[in-house]
Amino acid sequence: MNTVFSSNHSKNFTKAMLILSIVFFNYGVSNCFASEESLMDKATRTDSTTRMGQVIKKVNLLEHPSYQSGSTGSVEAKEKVSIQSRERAWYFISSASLGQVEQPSGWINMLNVRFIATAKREGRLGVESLFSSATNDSLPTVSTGVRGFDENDLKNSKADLKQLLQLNTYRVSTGSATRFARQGKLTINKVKVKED
Amino acid sequence: MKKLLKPVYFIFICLLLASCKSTGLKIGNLDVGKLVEQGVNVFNAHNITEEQEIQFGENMSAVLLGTRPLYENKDINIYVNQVGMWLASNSSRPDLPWQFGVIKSSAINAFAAPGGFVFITSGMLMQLENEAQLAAVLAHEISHITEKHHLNAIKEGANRNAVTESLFISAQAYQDNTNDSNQDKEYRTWAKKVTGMAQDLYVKGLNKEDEFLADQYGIRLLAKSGYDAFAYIDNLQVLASIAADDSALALLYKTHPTPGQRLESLAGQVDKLSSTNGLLLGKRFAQMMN
Repeated sequence: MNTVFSSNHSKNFTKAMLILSIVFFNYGVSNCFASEESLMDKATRTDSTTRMGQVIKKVNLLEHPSYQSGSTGSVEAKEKVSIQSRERAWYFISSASLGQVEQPSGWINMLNVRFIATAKREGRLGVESLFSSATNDSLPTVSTGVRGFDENDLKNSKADLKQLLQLNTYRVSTGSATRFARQGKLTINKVKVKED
Repeated sequence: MKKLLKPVYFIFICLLLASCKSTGLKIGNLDVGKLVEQGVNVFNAHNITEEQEIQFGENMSAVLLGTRPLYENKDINIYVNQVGMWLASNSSRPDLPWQFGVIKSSAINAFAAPGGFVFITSGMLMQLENEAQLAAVLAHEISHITEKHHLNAIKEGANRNAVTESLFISAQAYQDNTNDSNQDKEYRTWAKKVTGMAQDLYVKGLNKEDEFLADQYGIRLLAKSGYDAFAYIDNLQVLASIAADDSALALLYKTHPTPGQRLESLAGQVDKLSSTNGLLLGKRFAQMMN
């Protein structure tokens, strides 16, 4: 969660990007630095992916990622926002509307936002058109001979027992998976999968 | 070998009974006489043993892999198995022979088959940004298996009439126990029955309630296993942002509720899990994909 912001370099870069984006949205100078400070505090412990989204209903912008927090303003339904970071179920967003100067940023519950749809990839081979890194040979790239399969492919499929044997060679034991989890510092939380 | 012999005995007995036109006879919980008489194996999912469930899953998986092969990179397949096995070990059925695979396809989708078989397409994998998101996809599929959703699906409606005992018998068993002259014919019969059912399940998909339930259990399994539970929401947000008429999503949209509907149905879970801590493990994921 903290990996992207773990270095000073990343912090400085993020700081610069945030300032630029705030200036771009025509914010006042004093307000700009106040917002930037707040963002940096949050960003050091949140997911950093910046995306454009659209609010699905009118919601209050909150000072902190909690319903108990004070409000810093609001955004209208269908308003476009820039999602700066995430903390648990909360996005820190800033309004993408150029006209909105006052209280342009704050926390909202992530379920109140939908990412803005990407353009349809006309007959493309799936995600390759979205990710330039797909040309990296070590990634699961999509070759020209393999397209996303559909209903007709399934209807014409024949059982492939050799592939089934191949699948079996990738199996890992519970012990191996537990060691893998420990390496990643994953610990079991007290959550019941099936609620009572 | 022992595993193979049991179903073989079963089919031999069925064939014997077929010739005798017997009725009222039972093997285990199955009324074989009735099955033979009707020509179909109408059953209740609760009557299926775990061994049969696993065999059915193997057969379904073979059909799925007949559509597109596994992605060749061993390290990535093993990585997906490590993540999946960790989740499965925290599920309600940790002792199933869980197997996870990456299918080489630009389709954005993931699949499960009874008995512990889980697949993610390379197209879906490339949409993800961290290990928690990968775990979210796998947790959803694992939940379908722990809740036996596919077995429930074949109990319902038209599927019941398509069920035969051959669904639970391996191709190897047919090949090993039919004489040379009949081998091809018998295998083709098996393959036709098994592929028909697998195709039906994968094309029609599960019912929406099962999908919503797999989301609820999936996000909780993710949280229990130490991952950032809200990566589950991130995934659905990303799916929702891909144009609905994108061909890579055609089958997913045909067989699942829309991502928007799934997000709405998870509102309660998001509130309940609001205080849980978890990890994204973006760095480990990136290292593996590079």
